[in-house]
Amino acid sequence: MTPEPDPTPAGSADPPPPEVHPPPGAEQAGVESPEDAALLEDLRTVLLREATTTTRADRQTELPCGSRFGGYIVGRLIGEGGMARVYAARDPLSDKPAALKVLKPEYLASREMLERFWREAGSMARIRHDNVVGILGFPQEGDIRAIAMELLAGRSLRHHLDAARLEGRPMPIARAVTWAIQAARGLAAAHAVGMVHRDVKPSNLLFDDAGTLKVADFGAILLMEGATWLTGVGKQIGTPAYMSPEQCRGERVTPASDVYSLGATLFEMVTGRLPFEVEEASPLAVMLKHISEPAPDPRTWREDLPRWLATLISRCLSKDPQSRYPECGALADALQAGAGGVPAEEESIASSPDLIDTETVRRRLAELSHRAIICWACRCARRVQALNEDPRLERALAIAESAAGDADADGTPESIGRMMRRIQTLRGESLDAAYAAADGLASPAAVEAAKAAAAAASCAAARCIEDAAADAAFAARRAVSALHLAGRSVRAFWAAARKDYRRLREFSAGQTGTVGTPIPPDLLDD
Amino acid sequence: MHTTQTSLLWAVRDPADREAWISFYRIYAPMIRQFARRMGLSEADSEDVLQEVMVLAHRSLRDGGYDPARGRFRNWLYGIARNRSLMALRARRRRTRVQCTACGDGPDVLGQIEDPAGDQAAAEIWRQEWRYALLGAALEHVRAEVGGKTFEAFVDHAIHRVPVETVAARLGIAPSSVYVYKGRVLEAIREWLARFEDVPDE
Ligand SMILES: Nc1ncnc2c1ncn2[C@@H]1O[C@H](COP(=O)(O)OP(=O)(O)OP(=O)(O)O)[C@@H](O)[C@H]1O
Ligand SMILES: [Mg+2]
Repeated sequence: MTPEPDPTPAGSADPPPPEVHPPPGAEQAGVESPEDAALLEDLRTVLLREATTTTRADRQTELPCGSRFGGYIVGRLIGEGGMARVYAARDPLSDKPAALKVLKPEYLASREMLERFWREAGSMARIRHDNVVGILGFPQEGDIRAIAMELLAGRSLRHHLDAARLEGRPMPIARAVTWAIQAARGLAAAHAVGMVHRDVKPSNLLFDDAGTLKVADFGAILLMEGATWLTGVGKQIGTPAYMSPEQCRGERVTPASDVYSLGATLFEMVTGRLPFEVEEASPLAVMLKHISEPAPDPRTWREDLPRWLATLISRCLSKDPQSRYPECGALADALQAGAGGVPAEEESIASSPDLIDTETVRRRLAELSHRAIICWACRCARRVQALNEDPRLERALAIAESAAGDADADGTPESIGRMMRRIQTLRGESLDAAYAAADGLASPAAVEAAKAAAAAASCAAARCIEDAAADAAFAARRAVSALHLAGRSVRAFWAAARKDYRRLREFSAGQTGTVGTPIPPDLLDD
Repeated sequence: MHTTQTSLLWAVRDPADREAWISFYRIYAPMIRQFARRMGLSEADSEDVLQEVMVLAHRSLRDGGYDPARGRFRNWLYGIARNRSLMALRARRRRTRVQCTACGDGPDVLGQIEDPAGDQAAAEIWRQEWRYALLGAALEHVRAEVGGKTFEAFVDHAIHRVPVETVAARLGIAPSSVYVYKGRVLEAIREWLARFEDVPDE
């Protein structure tokens, strides 16, 4: 007989209670010994986990570089937050870049929450403001949902704050005020139409390539709340570090809640610390402080802070929403009025000449030609290949290097079609090789390096120079960790990588962004 | 094909024995990954921990760093996994100044593991993950060994508690066979576990 589709499929949410209809012969065969019952219970847990672990389900929402999603061509993975992955993408029709925020499956579970979120997102999409990240649409394919938005080239305020802290220098006050004004203006546009952001924090304040701040992720926290509802306990909603007292208590949010969160962010910009920091604290302890402990005076940590600004921050951080600025427009005006007396900032973002972190590498490489980027990434990966001498890895690298040839495509529709197919194959083959190798290799980081080099090559071949640079930078970082794990000198690696970079730059001077003449093979011989 | 933990651990010492290393990775990677996740590390950090633990364990096994006479393999591997997870947690603490901005890990994990009672909790997590990972590997092995229908009958009836008649009708087998299959699969799982569960203390 043909097996019918099972009416109670495996993994069905409510399996029938055991032994509702005692089967014939249950006495002799259906009764479980306690040991059997315990073993079965554990097996149940194992199978259930396999079906639900985020790592596995997550993979389904991973979009490979070069694939298509909702009409976009997917590029590199920019970052990953609690509930989504963000990819660079391109709209092939208009040739305009975009960012795709692809929601993780656990945030798509409840229809009710989704509807609530899309309603909100739909209204946000209608807000057009210089300081708000523009929403382009909500592409969907199968079960996977995404938010398409303006692609921002700069980093988030979180990055700037981390960098400032690492270098041990406080943020210039004029800069903090300028950015706070921009954030407040963006939020005010939402408040004006009765909407609340709910999750104002540094990682949601992004910069475009002109350095203008834009507010992102309106209403996204609603999805998080949805997940908490679903999973019941143990899952923290976002971060309480910037959360208003009323949000900590689970009460209704108002525009004044965003005023509080922006106040907490501004507090961090000028002092380098959060209003409530608890050594080794639980999120709960921080929430309690938001609710009941008076906010400290920021001048405790920043003596040169103008008094008006300290007062303004304290007002934002009032426990009682009624005592704060009622909405961000008023806050922006107050900041602007005070800023009249702040001397303009002297530009001092000194660019360090060294290639040290992934971000610097990325920016530097973006100045090179396509071919030079491929070349650089492959050389990074080659330096770690010596650790493994794995034939499959070798193949992944060879494919990557041969992509340099494809970068010569002349731009006719046929050659572009050929190139795109080639990229798909390249991506697939190098990933296969890398995954196959990852199962058996002593240094999976080396595999990652080769994989990233291949990804860089595929992006470069597609002329996505920014993406290629990002992948190449990632290849370098992975190479560093592979060498580190193998006990090799990382310093020597960077020195060599810097040398390569300089030679490639001399070579590609004047042909930025173009494919240009092939790199002479001896240029990079050691 | 390695039939016991002891033979597998021995085979892994041979760098040329790729197959042994792959089997080793398949069995032990899931528990290390899950352990790191449950210690509060992000997915990316857990993958890094997994890589590091695998590299260290492999090198140490090759150099004879694990001596069965001196303790269980389970505890030896725990030592490495715990250590690396702690290092990753410390690195994260340096990255994010405030513990609570961490990625949804609930209360302060690091502080807890560093105190003895919390360390017990970590050991308990490891014990669970060890069992789950071995059960997962046993299931994989037994699935291949007993064949589709037997395994399906087992999963439907014994795991999902679908009534015997429904399972029998769907698979076109006699209801009594369902019990036989269930017994057979449980037996095979027990047998596999006995070979891969650690040699008991003393
Ligand atoms: N439109 C965009 N253009 C460029 N980068 C973006 C864009 N939107 C988000 N990003 C980046 O993508 C990364 C992930 O963002 P995401 O919003 O998912 O996480 P998050 O804000 O860090 O944390 P949370 O999950 O708590 O919101 C961040 O590094 C962010 O800077
Ligand atoms: Mg965000």
